[in-house]
Amino acid sequence: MVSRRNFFGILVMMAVLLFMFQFSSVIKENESDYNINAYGTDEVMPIRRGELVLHGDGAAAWGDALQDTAAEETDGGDDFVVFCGSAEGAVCRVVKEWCGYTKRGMVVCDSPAEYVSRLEAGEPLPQVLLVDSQGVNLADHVQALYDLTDMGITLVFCNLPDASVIAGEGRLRKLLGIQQVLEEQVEVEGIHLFAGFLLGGEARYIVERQEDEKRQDLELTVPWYVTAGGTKTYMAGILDELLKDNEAKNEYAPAIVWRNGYGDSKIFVVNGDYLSRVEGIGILDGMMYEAQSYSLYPVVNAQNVVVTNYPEFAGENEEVMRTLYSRRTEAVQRDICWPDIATLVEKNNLKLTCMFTPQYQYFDESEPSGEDMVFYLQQLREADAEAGISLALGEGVSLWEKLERDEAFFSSFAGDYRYSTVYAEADTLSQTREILGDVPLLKDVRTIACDYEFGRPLLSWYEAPGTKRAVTMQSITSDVSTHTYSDDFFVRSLETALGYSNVKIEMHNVVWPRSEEDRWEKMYDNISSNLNTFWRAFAVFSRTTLTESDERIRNFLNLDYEDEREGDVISLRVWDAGESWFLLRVHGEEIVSISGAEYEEVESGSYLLYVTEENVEIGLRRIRGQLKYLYP
Amino acid sequence: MPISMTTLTLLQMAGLFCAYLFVMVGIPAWVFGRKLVGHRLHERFMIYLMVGNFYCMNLVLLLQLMKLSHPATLILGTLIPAVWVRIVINKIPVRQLAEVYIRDLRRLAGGQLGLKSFCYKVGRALRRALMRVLRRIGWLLCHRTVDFLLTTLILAALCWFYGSNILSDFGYKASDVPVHNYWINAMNDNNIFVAGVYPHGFHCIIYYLHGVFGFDTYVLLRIFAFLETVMIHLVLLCFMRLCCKTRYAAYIGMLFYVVSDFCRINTYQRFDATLPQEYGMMFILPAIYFGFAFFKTRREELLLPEDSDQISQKLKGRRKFKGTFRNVTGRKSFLYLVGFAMSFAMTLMVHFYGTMVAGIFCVAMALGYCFWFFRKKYFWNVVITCGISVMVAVLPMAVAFIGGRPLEGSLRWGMSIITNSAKDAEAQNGKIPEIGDLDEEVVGSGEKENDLGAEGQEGEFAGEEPGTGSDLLSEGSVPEETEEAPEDAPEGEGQNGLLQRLRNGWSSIYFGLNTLVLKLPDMSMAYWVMYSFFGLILLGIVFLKLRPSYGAMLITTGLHHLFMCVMLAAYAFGLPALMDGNRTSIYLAYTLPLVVSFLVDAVVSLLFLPAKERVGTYGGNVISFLFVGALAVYLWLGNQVRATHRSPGQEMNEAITCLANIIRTEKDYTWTICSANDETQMGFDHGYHYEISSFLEGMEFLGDVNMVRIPTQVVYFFIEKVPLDYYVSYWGSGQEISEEGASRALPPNWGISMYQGEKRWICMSRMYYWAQEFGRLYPNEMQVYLETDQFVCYRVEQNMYKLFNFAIDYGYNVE
Repeated sequence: MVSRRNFFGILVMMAVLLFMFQFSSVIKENESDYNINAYGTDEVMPIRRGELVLHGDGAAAWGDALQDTAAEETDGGDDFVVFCGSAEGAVCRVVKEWCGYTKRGMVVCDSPAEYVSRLEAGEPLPQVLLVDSQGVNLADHVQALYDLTDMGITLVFCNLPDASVIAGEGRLRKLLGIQQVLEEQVEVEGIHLFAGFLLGGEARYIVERQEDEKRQDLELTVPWYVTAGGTKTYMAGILDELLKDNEAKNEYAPAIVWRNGYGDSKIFVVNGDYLSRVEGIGILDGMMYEAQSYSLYPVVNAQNVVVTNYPEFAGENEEVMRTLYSRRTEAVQRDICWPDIATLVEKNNLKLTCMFTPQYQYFDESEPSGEDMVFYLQQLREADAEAGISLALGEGVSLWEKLERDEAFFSSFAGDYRYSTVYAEADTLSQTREILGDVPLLKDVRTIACDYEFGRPLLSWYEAPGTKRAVTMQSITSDVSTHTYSDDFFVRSLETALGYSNVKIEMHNVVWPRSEEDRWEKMYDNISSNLNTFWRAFAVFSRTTLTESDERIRNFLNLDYEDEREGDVISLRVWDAGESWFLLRVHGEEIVSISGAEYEEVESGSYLLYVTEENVEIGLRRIRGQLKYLYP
Repeated sequence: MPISMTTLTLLQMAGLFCAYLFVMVGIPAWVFGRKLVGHRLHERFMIYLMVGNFYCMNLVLLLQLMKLSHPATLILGTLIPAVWVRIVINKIPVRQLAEVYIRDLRRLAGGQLGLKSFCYKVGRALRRALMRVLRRIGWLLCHRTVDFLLTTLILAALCWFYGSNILSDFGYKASDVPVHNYWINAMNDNNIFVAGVYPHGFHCIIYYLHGVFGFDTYVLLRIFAFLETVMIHLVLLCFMRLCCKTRYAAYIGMLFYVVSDFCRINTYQRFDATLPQEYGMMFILPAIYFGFAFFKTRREELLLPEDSDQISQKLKGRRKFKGTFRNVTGRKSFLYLVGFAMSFAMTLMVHFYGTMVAGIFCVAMALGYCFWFFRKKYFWNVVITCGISVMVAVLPMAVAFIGGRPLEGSLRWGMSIITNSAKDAEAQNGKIPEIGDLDEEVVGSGEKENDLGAEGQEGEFAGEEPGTGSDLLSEGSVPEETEEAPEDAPEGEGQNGLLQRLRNGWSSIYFGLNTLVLKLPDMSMAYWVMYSFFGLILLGIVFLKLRPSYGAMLITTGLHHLFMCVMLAAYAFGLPALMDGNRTSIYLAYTLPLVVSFLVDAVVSLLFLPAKERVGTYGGNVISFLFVGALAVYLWLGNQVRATHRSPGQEMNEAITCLANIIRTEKDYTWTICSANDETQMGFDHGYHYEISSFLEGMEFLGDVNMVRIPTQVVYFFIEKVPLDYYVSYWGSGQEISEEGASRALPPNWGISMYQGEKRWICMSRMYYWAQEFGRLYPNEMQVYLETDQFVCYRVEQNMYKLFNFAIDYGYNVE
């Protein structure tokens, strides 16, 4: 028999336990301000530096803006570059974009000879002269190139003419640092990117295991040049099998990116079309670092993960979902996908931006249900993530129709949430830009995430019609579920140039699978391993949502700076900046003192600076080759 | 926190002394200490030193020949036998002790004994042991205060004269040290006798210290010279202290040898370099002392009637041999025979010149002690001991030789010297060589020696004083006295006559003493030195009746010096020159203090002979101390104190500094030094070396196929802005590298000659301008590591997957 007293005691204890367990959940639910976007603000920082080459005037499309402003931009100082070649070419676009990010002026001229005559007429020396061999016949300008090197100008050969031309031009070969042309074309087994050039360390892009086969998508046919004394190679082809009997096989490997020295001048050569793509900006930054005793330039410092088309609220494709997962579509997304995503976020310390989509198919019977909306918003809030709107169009629906239907949905469920980011597919981007100011649902949007397309700057902005508010555009840099070698090279290049990545997890395929590869467990494996592996080297960069990243991009585009080195001290002056970050790369040195900024080491010799004051002073000390025993 | 190279060298020297004394003296003292309680301190020191060295040498030789040499086997091979021998000879009850310890540990584990109590117990035992040692030291300091002070002064003088050079010049001081370095390095791979069969005793010791204590071999070869010098002098002091009757007579000899300026620089300058010959000197006098002690002790044993009875009884027994053996080993004289065998064997194991000198001493001893030596009860003991000692020394070499190893070059050279000398002597049978002829021969052998030295044999010595030794002889600058000497010769003697030969020899000895050995205020004083040898013999004869052992010792010493003088001027006597004059002078000078000390000791002892023993001892000590004081005052006031000398290192201090830093800071085998020095061997365990000659030659002709690649992550370039004179000077010695030098044709790469004289200047000039050009091409990859007015070291870091091609057009290559 239980006495009354004991019974009462047990009852009280159970009540207390019930209260303790339920109380926290109830409080959390009731007090959660999930319907408020933690990253949304009323005030959006304007972008002031419209005059830069990179930025458009609002009316023009991003890509057009670049071409329209291919004007000469020099301020008479050292910080400008000269581009010799076709102003319409892909290389020129990349160089312009790079100049925009690094705040350099740019002069475009037809040929090296032309620029030599301009120099003779008294124009100032550029920091670097880039030659696009597709637009300049190098054989005709060898003497001019020698004249430029005699002046101590750093040359960058953004690509090379045909190997037969190189083989026949001894002087050109000497200038380029090519000792021998062994083959006009050779199929390499892979590409070796050596440590120290781009951030992220060494990389061997070669198929060594079966699973690497799907990753290999780099151009492997290259002319076979053997570099001469006085050169330094940054990237080379791998010919292990062909040269296995050669003791000096590494020395004979086809060079892809290298540097030659000629007097006081440095000559960088790219054997391939790497500078015709946007990853060229990282290569150019790597070259500038190698050409100088240090390199200091602004970076965005943002690492975004965008989960597109997730969640979908209409429970579409339920039959397939039941077959594959024995669950309803909503349950698959909520009970299978979300826990995995949450684990991924926690494990990799990520910040997500989930692009909600009410439905994909607007003309079927399934209609979106908002019953899970609160759950997702609460979960996102807890995970420091952000919600945005996906503008990806389903079959047979126009953007207007979609927005009209979606607006009704979003206003019904958690209608107070201010969506400041949208995801647009590349082919609807221009349409999106046009309507952005006119749709009430998108009134708070300040940044657009969009799949990257060559010709459009990676980071840009425009003034939304109607609101006159600057809206930034952040390109998606890769799909993390399928990370190929070229994606990896792209990521390394962007991290080096901008400290920026914006990766996408495409969830549409989970609900609408096309193959076995789209099964969530396989996709998750890929996503998890890729994020764990390929972004590990960049852990020092901040994890951000798209809105946070937008803030940083605005600062990055607005700021201007100047720097100089005297002995072991580098002085940096930054203006027009809010929060700003810089990347400092030094050779065999380390920071011993700093004022006006805080720093973190990215890797040996590379530091991420968080500038807190207008004037920054950085003291350096040699780390390699320090004497432990002194003499005399 | 960085420290200076000087501080580092001091710390290394301190560490080396501790390690060496621990193994060579400490462990033998721990093992045999109780057994040798009745022996004098100096004698015990010599015994420990000989045992330690002998054991280490043979341990290394054995392990090397068995291909088992490794730091672990060396440590185990040292400690296990030491513990075992200590247990056996001291009859330590191991079982009982173990039981006690185990019981204590059990009690500790069981909680019956607290940890505090246990620690207290252990601490108390340690404290007792420490107190015993301290009491002993305290007793010595109290009762031997003057001895202690004088020894300290001698050690201080050694530090001043020899230690300072080690601290001011870091490089090797002799040309053949790199070869010894190479031989020792090869022992890391159990490849002893890598260059052929050679006495490896010295190398075994260096290798042992390297293997067990982790000293880098190049560090040992830099600083071991000082330790070696101190030990040689300590052995000399111990020998004299043991042989002299008066307490302080030994210090007169030490003052003469260490402090006075009476000896020529060539007699002690080699002490600045770490060389086997000098290390071998350490074993000569102990061998002789043990010989003296044997005769003395054996005689005392034979004088005891029961001893002979016991022997005869045992001989009659059934276990005849075993009984005899036990009886022999049980005698005190046996200890000295063993000591003699070990010491004599080590002279041969380390350097055969030492054996020659010890052998001459032994011959003198055989004559000095002839009245005992040729007796049956001495003769066979001595002869068998000599035989065993030679066999012990030769056995490892013989094993290797039988195993197919050829003789090492310098052994063949040594033999050729002896055989050629003998032939020359025969050839000159009808003609007594004139001094000029003698000089040519001496110089000739020296040249040969140097040639071999370049190949790594007996090489040149850094900073050898010009105008001394054989050089001076070759100039034919015979002092007037030598010209006069033959005039005194009695007329009527034929040119081939014995008298003429002796007279010529006498003059040559006088000349040799003055030019090679002594630097007396008045050259004629050399005659007094020569007379003193006879004086010793005479005093010995006087003492034979009164103190036979002491007298025989004096005669032996006198005879030895006469023989050494004859060897110094062997040609003049028509004898084969077993050793060139320079080397003979070193050994002669080393034993001259014996003459000085023994003369004083003998005279003082003679004076106090009639006195009572206590008075005689006290009086002798006082008089000998007064002699020490008088000599010190004379040296000081007469300005006869030796000045510090400098033996320049044959590698710049900066280069050694860089090497030490590189070894300290870089990962092993990730670096290469490109230089004109011997970092191949110096950095053997850590990195690689690339010859400047090969480096320059690789890019001499510009063309498409030129490739100079060095496959390590880091490459250092040692460039001398003021190239040193590597044993060869030239018209522009001391000049800086210049464009003029770089524009000269690259010298042909014919071995070491490319780094000598003007050629070194050309190489360094070219390297400098190469570095300037390379630095322009690779400003971020090439950095200055260390730069002074004389030297610059560059550091280049490269990508291991794509090495730099160092073959660049630096403006002086051939198109």
